[in-house]
Amino acid sequence: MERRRDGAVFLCVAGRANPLVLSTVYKRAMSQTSLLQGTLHLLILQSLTLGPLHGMGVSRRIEQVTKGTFLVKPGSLFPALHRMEQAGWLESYWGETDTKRRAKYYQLTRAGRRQLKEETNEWSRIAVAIGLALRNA
Amino acid sequence: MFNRDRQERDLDDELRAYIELAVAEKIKQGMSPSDARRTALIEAGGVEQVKEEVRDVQPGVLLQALAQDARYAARSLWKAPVFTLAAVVTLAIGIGASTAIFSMVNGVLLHRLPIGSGDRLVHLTAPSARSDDEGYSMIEVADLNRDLSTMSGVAEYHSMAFQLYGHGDPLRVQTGVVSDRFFDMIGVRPILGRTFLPGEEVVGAPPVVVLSYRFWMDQFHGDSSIIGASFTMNDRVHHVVGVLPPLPGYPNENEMWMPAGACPFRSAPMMLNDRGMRMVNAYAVLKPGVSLEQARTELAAVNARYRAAYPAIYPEKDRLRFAATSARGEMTARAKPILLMLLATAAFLLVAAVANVANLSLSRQMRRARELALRVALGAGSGRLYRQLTLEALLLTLTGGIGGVLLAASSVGLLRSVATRLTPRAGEIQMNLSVLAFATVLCVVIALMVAAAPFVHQLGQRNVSVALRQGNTGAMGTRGDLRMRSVLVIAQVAIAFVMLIGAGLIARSLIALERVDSGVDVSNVLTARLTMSFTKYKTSQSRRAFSAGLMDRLSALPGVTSFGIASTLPLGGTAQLNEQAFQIDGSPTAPGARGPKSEMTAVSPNYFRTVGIPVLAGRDLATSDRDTSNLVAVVSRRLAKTYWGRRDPIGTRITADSGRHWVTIVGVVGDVRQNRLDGDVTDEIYFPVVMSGNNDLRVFLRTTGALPPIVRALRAAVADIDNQQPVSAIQTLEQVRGAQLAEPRLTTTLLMSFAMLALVLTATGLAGVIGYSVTQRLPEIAIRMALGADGRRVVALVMRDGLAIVFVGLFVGLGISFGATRLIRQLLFSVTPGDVATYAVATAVILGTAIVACLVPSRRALGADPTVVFRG
Repeated sequence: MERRRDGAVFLCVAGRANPLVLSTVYKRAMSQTSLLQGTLHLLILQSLTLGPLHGMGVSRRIEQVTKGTFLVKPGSLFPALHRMEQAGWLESYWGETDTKRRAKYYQLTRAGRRQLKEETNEWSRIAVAIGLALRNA
Repeated sequence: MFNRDRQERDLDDELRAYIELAVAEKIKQGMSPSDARRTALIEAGGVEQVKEEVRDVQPGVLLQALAQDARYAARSLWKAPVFTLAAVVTLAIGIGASTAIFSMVNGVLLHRLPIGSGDRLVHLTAPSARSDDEGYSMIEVADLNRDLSTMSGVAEYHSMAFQLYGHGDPLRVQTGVVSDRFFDMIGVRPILGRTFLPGEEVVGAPPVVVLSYRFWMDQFHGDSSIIGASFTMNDRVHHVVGVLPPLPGYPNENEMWMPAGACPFRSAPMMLNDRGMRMVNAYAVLKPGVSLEQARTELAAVNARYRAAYPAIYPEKDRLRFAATSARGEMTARAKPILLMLLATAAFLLVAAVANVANLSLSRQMRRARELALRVALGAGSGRLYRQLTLEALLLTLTGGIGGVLLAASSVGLLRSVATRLTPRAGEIQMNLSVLAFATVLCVVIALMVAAAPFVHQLGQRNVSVALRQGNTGAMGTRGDLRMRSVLVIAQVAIAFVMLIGAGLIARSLIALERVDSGVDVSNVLTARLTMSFTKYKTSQSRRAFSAGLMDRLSALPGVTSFGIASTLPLGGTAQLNEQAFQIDGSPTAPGARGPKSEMTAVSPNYFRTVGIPVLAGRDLATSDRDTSNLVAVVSRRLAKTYWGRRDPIGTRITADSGRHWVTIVGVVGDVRQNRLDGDVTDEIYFPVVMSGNNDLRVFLRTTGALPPIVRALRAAVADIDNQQPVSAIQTLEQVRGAQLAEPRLTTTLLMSFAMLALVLTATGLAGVIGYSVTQRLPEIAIRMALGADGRRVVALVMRDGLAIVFVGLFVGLGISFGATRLIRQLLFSVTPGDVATYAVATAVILGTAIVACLVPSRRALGADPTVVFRG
């Protein structure tokens, strides 16, 4: 995660800032199982509940609902979309945008909705737990 | 591929759409179209990188990428044939040696015994004040089988040679004689027919035999119609009922097996009915879950009970105990230290080989630094790069590994012959799945290590731009690279030194062993074994008549300058040690003290002359010494010295049967190592063979000229006395001695060649590193030379670098050697682990090799021409 001067947080799941090989390999291996990965999945699933969106749409929707706290870069967004599609949570089709451009749209599958429910529950549990921990600290 | 193309196109379209949308957004916000596009692209963080990230999560992409990387790796290795060949050969040697030695360790030490009872098979021994194992009587075996609750069975065993008639020439067949439950108890199933049935051990039961696998193959070429065949042994017809699978030659190498009742010797009433007649060995199988300790405790308790019940059989002064040792332990005890030493040596060699390959690969990656950096810049993920290098290394190690396994597989015969002298399990050494798995794991681990080498020392200090800029300088690296490579060479020097010390000590032991004076002159002596049939030569008179007849006929043999007969074979290794107590007339043994003891060996006149044992005092035995009222004997030198001291033994009398017969000493002869070259000399009392009635004789012929006609004449002479008498173990004394040296010679050769290989690897490693450092310092050297430094100083400069590394390596090696050689102390013969000469020679060899290895780069340094260096 890196913090921009204006306070926005980039979700930089598969960072490639440092070409130094081994350390990056480790960082990457770590990040794939990290909390952030799950958060990104949750945000994407949530953003698609109102209907199909293309990549840019997902990105903007997340920005909107988090009031600009999370900016998802394409380097994280597209790998996540493809991975989730393989997991069967999303399905995609080619459609047209308002401006008559061809774009790939993603929508939730039934498994995706189930996953969203599970992850939401999980997340609330963690949020409550962390809230408790912080209050008692 | 089609699918892959579509995937690519889709990905392309998807990302293009994303960028277009972003651009449109920015234009709407008031940016100029060109600014909008630029900002959108920057914010996206590189379209190619994003694509690469997505590709990584696409299905099957890993396989595709792997295939692509493998092709690329193969191509780039193909383009560097010198590096590839050097690395593959080095790895083949390292992996080959390790795999070969591991196959020995696996077959002999790790693998389960190939019998159903496995490690639960134990050898029951009966140690006493007199001997390590007195053996058991038939009655005791039966009682133990009944009484021991920790064992699932106790069986008797002994091995004897019998004559077999009815299959070509009469054969001398080594036969294991066992209880009928023996094979079922230890868990051996026949590959043909059956083993013994309950009741077949009863004296008088129809005689049956089972054949060992080897005997069946050698004599009957694996003919399965052998079941039901009949042979005459001990005057009775024996039927073949089964054939055993290949088994370890334990307790002995037997050619045939028969149930206990069929052995005429063991089944004499005196043997069967006397609790004190200890003539068989006892083997037992622990019940599952019972430990050896529990079994030993029970044996001690049972022993105490028997002692109380039969005080006459177990007198207190004998201190006879019942003990148990693991059969597996007995099989591998001698081999274990040698195999572990070989394994350690092979591991050392492998480490030296891997260090070399790591070093080679390091300089190769240095040269490729620019290419690698470029690939990173073009969007190759760093993981992909590591994967790429690992694949390359894996390709190298697997190729080397295949070579190594082939090397190891081709040496299985040699390995078995090394092991044969050490363990009955030698036949189990083979290239099997576990050995292949070992080699494969080795390859993978080495590949990961070799691939990691270029990364380890760069960690945290390099990035693309640095690499790109540095790439210009080709093979140039940092001082850090040099340090890393120096460490590898230091390790190699240390390893080579330790291996030289180990091989040197073992070689010195071998030289000492070769020089051992066995007490006999082995050149030009032919020997053969004549084992007489128990049933045919029942009385000692008939056996004496045989040996007398033999003596007459041997004297007529052509090409024989001298001949003799004895009851044992000097240096036979397996000579039966049968020490007997005796008393010297006039110096009675104090009660409770241990009296004099000696081997009793029957020999003919001229035996000493024939095998070169000197008569030191008095006279040799003579043909005339066959007067039962005037018994005579000859003693060995050490025996005379020990028990007679300064007195002259000649003319004094001894008795071995508490004074019933008195024997006069007529001569003193030289000492002989009856058992082993590395063993002690044996105390001997030699008495005339015509007085002994021994049924197992050795013939010795001192020969001139070619052997085959003499062998034919010997066979004819024996057939002339008894045409059913087999002549076996025809060999020269030279061969008998050689057999004792075969294993140490092979082990020494193996260790020496491993050490030499390590030395060569070290030399190339050192030359590589010094060459590298010379390349780095070429400008400096060129300036020095331009300023007038002479050649000697330049060479000294290079040498100093090299020798600094070597001295550190030597120092480390010295430390390891001091510790490691203590571990092989028991393998050394008349050499101490700290042998100064060995250390001196090893140091000299390392330094000499180092100087030669440094000379090559020195010459290059001398050729440094400032004009070329600075322009180039």
